[in-house]
This record gives sequence, structure tokens and C-alpha cells, in this order.
Amino acid sequence: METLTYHTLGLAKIQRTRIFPGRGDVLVRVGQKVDASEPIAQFIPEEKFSILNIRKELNLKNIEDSRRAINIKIGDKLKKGDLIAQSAGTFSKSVNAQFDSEVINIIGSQVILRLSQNPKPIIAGFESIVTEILPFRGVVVETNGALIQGVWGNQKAISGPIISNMNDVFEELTPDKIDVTFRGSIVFGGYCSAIEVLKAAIDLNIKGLILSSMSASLATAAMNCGIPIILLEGFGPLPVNERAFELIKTNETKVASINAIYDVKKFEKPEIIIQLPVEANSPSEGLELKTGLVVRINSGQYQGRAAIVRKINDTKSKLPNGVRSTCAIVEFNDEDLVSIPLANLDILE
Amino acid sequence: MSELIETSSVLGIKIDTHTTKLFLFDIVNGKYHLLATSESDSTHKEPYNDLREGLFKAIDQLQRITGRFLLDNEMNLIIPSQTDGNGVDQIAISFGFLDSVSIITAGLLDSVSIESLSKITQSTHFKHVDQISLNDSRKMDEILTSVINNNPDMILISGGTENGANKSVLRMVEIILFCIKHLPKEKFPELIYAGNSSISNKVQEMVSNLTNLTISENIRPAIENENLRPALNSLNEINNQILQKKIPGFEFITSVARSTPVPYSQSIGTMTNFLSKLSSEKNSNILVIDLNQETIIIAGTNQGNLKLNVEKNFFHNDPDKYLAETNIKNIVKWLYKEIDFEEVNNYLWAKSIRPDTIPVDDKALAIELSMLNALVRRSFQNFQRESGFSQENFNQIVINGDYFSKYENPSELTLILLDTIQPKGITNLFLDQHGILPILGSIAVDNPLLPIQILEGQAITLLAKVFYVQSKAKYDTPILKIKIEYKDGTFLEEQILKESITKLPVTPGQFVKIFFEPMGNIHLSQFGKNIEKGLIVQGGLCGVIFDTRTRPIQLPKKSAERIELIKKWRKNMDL
Repeated sequence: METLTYHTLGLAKIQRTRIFPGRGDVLVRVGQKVDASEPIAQFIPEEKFSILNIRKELNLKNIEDSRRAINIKIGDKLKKGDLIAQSAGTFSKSVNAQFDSEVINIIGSQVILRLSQNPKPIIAGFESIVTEILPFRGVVVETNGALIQGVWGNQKAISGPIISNMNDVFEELTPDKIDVTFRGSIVFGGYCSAIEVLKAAIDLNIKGLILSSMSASLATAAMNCGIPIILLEGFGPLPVNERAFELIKTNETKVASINAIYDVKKFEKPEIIIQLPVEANSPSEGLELKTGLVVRINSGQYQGRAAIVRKINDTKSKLPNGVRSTCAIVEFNDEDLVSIPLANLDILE
Repeated sequence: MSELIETSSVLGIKIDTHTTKLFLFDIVNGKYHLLATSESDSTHKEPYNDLREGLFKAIDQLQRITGRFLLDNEMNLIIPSQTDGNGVDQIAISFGFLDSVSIITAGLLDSVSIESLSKITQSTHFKHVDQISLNDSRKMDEILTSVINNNPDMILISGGTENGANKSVLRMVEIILFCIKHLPKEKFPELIYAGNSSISNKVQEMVSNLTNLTISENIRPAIENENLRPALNSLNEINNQILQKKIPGFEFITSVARSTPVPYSQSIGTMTNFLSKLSSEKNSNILVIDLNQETIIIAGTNQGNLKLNVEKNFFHNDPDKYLAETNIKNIVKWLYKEIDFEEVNNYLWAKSIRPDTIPVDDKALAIELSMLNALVRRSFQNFQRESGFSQENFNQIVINGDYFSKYENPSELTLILLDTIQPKGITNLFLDQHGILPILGSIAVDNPLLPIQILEGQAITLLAKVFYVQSKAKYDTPILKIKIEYKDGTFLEEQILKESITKLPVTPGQFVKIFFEPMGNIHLSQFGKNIEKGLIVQGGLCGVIFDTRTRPIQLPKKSAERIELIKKWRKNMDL
């Protein structure tokens, strides 16, 4: 079982490829600067077609008459109401386009139209520069800066200055801690269990929320919330890990992009990126768990705490509840050693 | 015996989107044995982007365990086995990769070709994205829209018994060709025609060089006659070709297999049929549950008819869908500890982010076992609904133990089966400790002897012999007295109460004779003929169990009473 790596880096080169499925267009050029919520491409999620049988529509005798009646050719772009076909004679009938469309084929007396659809945008996700265009497929964007990866997000993105009144990792974000001075900012807070926090954030035009964790009872409301929300640790009352806490506090008031748009099936993660004017190297990917690595415990009594791996056992151990699992011995800051199942560790890199 | 066995050593590769597992078999004392297994994460995704990495890791483990080299210096598998003991004679592969290849089926009538097409797709791992029929209520532009949007990897066309419905079948082919012509050329799907063979040449003419066409035998040569195997073989071959293009490293792995690799569903189907025939019971009803990180496959036989359902394990593969389909009340209902709703909800959502985490305390374990209970229950209900399988009495239930290997006490798994499947009659519960059934099914294609000999060994272990007792008595009323006669001549008596689970003091492997004495209105005929003479039974890992809970199991509405009852059942199972 692979151990997931969550980056919490003060400086890294961050490159992301945004691919769109199906038919689409790239909207930017190489070298262009883009904002987090700026569309860089658009695509049609689902096509729609219409087939018109001109012979039937115009009550014609044969295919030849139909072909003569057709007024358009393959590739023509039509607006609603445009003439498609018209029969000859005094009592001529006509067939007009019911929707904006494109003529993709004419076979016999059939006209096949692709109906125009509203395209769906692909947004950059973070303030960046376009470094590569993948024709008909997508865009590569890049920046340098601090990178903090979270565990859950509500599929939205934005940029704004980070603000926080958190003093320690265990603090809870309650409605009374949000005030009008947070307007236009991305608020960094701890555990959130009150839906009033989300409502206050909307009312006060807060741009986004970075939370350590959240009650799962708010998950649906968070998904439907109009602003991006990222959880750094998970669900339930969990403190933020100290590395992320220090990194975000250090970069308070700087402009950050929070990208809570991610596809878990592609092993993507929601991210906070704080752009910095320094060239950096790309972070290491595909790390394997080994001694010396910094890890976060993601479940159980020590959930949320960071530690260093001191030993990985070869064989399975039996936990107090009777479950068998391969464990690692990890050491906390205070030099306490505990045994944690490998599956309950995230690599913090 | 040895001269009948041409193939000595066999390497089984079981591979899916999560795990690459190897099984090494060889002949010991004239019989096939499972020597060793090894396992690694599958590596077709970032950062390796090649299945071979995971395969070589697993081979490396196997080499260290067995001391046998399976790879040469150039990282090629050594086939056949060498005189120095290195290498293997045969490699067989069974795979998952559910929904990696999409298919549209096209047929004529619901009760004929469409029905047969559904049977075929149900036993594959294809993502069945659409079905087009002669009496399709959709207009042509809707069908075109569906084909373009779904952009299937293959289209399977059938219809017409032999020399029947020529015009309709050709019309269907026209419709399909009309649709696929509007796709980009590089995305044209593979076509398979498995209908009326008298017009195969005409179909070939129509398709011409537009796209690849495979002609297979008619899946329904007559109304009352079905012939699915040839079409299934063609689909398996094409499926493998497509997967070789889609999954880096798949081509290497399949190139070393003696036969075309077989998807889990078909292997499980083969083994379920086989187990049904192996059973000493006439018209044996078997249920096989293969639950792994990628797929949940349930197969059952009823009077020799096989039904199968394959679904994705959304818990590990699509957490949004898992959360959307999970009713948290069903999880809370089966908890044996008082845990508030909020805590269960938080745990569920946390697991959706990290499905592989291990429960480290008693509360987490309670929630996790209840989640498993809900998963098995829902999958079984889906199987019954999708396949029309209504059987409640099973002679045998076999479950893949791989997924449950972290729960050391086999009673946990036994109780999950009893709570979810709720079998009636007398049932043997079996544990497939290594998840070996899919690989045996793929090996059986070229080596039918190996699965037989492996099943005779320890690969499938008896979990428990379970007696369901039907009675209308009230809760806690004694309904049956059981007298257990041991081989040393000693006796023990047990009283069986209504709405209880009773585990008899029979050790694993021990044979005892049990005598039944009804207390109240119990029909002994439910236990078989000549029951007054006693019944010889063998204890499984969980011994012999009497389950007298009403079907379906009724749980008290009040949580305190419900928890007490579930705790009582767990205590009776030594949990």
C-alpha cells in the first residue's frame, strides 16, 4: 500500500498540467500570466446532435429533390432561424435551424447538425505563467512559491491575501472570530463545526477558507458554498500540523491561490500556493516510506501529529484491538516513540 | 499421475488497479501445492507509469521467499523451468481493471439477443455505456449523441437466429456504422459481430475497411439456444489488445501468459460452477463473494444456473459515489458500541479520504466492521436485484479472505456473513485465505488438474458449518437441545435459544456427531432426512454454529437494546 505524500514546502517549482476531456479550445498563449480563477481553456462536456430528414420535412419525393432543396454545406455555422432547406414552387416550405449549430454531415437527404453548447471552463487554479500549450488537449502552467497540500476541497479556486487570527494549532474557528476586516481575504482557521462560519464567510465577502478540519456534517454545505474551502487535516476536531501552521503564518498577508479543484481518482490534491519571486526546484514525488522521513499520523489517538520514522517493522503486529498490521516506530518532538500502522501515515515533504 | 502433468510449475499473476499478487505453484509428492505468494502495489500510475515495476517487486519478494529465480539477468521471465529449479513452466493471468474498456451493445429484441448480450457484458469488466435495440424508444439523433459522447472502445452487435431477421440485423449494422462515422477516425471503436452468421459476409462488406471487425459465432443461434463462449473469447482477446494500449506494461505481462488473460469475473464464474459440481450435494447452491479493493464480485449457482454481478468497490475507487450511496443509518444500526452519529459521520468522511487506514482503537474498529457489514449487505442485495437471484439456502458460501486479513479472529468475518447473507438451511462457510479463486479459474483454461488439486488442499478452509433453525417461538425460548458426541465417546449437551447464535464446542477440523432434540414446535426435517440417527459434522475455524435469528434479522429500534443484542451475539461468537 502506497503512502501518500503531502507537500508542505517553503519554496518549490510548481508545475501543473490542465487537460480537458473531449472537444475544446485553449484560451491562452505561452508566456501569459494567469490568475487562479482565470479560464485557460474551455471544453464541451457533452455534445448534442440533431438529424433532419429534409425529404420528410419538406414532403419531397426523392433524395435528389432533397439535395436540391438543401441550402447549406458541411462546415457551415448556423444561427437559430437560418435557412437549412427550402422546397421549390409556389407553396414552398422551408426548414430552419432550431438552434445555433454546425453542419457536420449531409448524407442522402439527412442533415446532421452539432448543436452549440455552452462550454465549460478549465481554470488555472493558481497564479502562474503558461509554459506549454498541448494542442486540443490542455495547458501547462507553472510558478515558484510555497506549496501546502490539503486532503479535501470543495472544487473551487481563487486568489487573495491570507489572513489569520489563529494563535495555536488547536484553535477552533467560530463565527465570532470572523469579522469585517477579513473582507476580500482568504481566512486561515482551525477546526470548524458551525455552519454559521460558512454563512459569515459568504456575507462578509471572504474569498476562501483554509481550515485544519471540519465536522463532516458541514460537508454538503461546504460543497455548495460559493467560496473555495480546503481542509488541511480531514474531518473531525483535528489540529493543523505544525509545519503547515508555521508556513502559512509566515506568509500571512501575502497573496495565495487556493485551488480546491482536484480529481482524487488521478491522485490530485487540493493545494495552497503562495507565489514567490525565486526560482526553485520541483518537489520530490513518489517517495517511499523509509526511516528519517517526516510523517503525519492521519488516524487514531495521535491524529494530526507530525513525527519522524525511526524503524519500519518487517512483520505484522497485533494492535490492542486485535487488528493485525505492519507498523512503523515513529518519534515525536518530545522524543516519545510510538508504533503506528503504515497505512495511518502520510509523508510530509 | 506425474506423466499426466506436463506442466510442473505455474506462476499465477493476479493484477488490478491496486494490487499485483503472485502465486507460485509446484508439484510436491506428485501433487500441486501452493508454495508461496507475494504482493505489491500496482504501478501503472504516477510516478512509475508501468505495471512492470510492481510485477518485478512482487517477483523479487517471491524469489527471496522461495530461493528460486524467476527472472534472468535481462529481467525476462524464465520459461520453462530449468533443471536448477529456476523459472516456471506456465504463467496464467487474471486481471481486474474494471471499467477500463467501454462497450456499447446492439441487438434486436429484449427477450432474445439483448438478453444474451446482457449476460455477456455482466461477466466482463467492461463499462457498459449503452444498449441499442431494434425497438429503442430514442430517435436517431439521440442514439448518435450517445455513441459520440460515450465514444466506446468496442461495439458488440448481435441479432437474428440463424437465417433469421436478416433485414433487421443489417439495419442495426447500418445504424452503428452511421454513428461511428461521425467520430474522429483515430477513435473508431472495434466492432464485433456475433449474430446471424448467414449475413456475416454482408456485414463484412458493409464495414469494409472502416474499422476493425471481428466475426464471432452467433450468441443466439436459436431462440432456445445460447452460445456465449465464442463471443466471450473474442471479447477477451480484443479487451486484452485495448488494455495493452491503455495500460503501460500490460503488454509485457500478457505476452508471457500461455493463454489469453481472463478477467476476475469470468475466473470466478468458472470456479463457482466448478465448486458447485464438486459439492457432494445434488444441485448444490453455491455463493462466492470476491471482495477486493477494486471490485466486488458475487457469483451464485442455483440448480446449476450461474448468476454473476460485478461492481466497483466505490469505497476505494470513487469516494464521492461511496458517500452518496451510503446510508449512515445502516452503519449506525449495526454498531456494537454506543458511538454518536457525529463521530460515525466524521469517521466515514475521513475514511473516504484515506480508505486504507487501519482502525487502532475499539471505537474505530466497531465503526469499520459496521461499514464492512453495510458494504457486503448492499453488494449482496445488488447481486440479487441485478441477476434476479432469489436463493436463500446455500450449501456453500465462499468468501475471499484477502480483504479481511487484518482481522485476525475469523469469527469477525463469519459474523459478517451471517448478518448480511443470512443464509437459511445448512450452510458451509468457506474462507479463500489468499484470494486464490480468480487465479485458479485462469489456470484452469490450460491446466484443469491444478485447481482440483489445490482445492483439495488448504487453500480454501472451512470457516464454519452453520445450521439455521426455523421456529416461530418467542425470543430467548429454548427451541432445540443438541447432544454432541465426540470421538472419545464423551457427550456434551447444548440448549439452543430462539434469536440467538450458538457456537458449539467443536474445534477446527474436529469431527463430531450431533443429535437433535426439538423443544417445542420445530420440524427436524429442516435438517435433512433420517436426522434422528444423528449427523456427522466437521468443525471449521469457527466450529459449528446454530443461528436461530428470524429472517430477515430484526434489530430493536432503541439503540441501547440493539447494542446489547449485537454484543450478545458477538459474545457468543467469542468476540
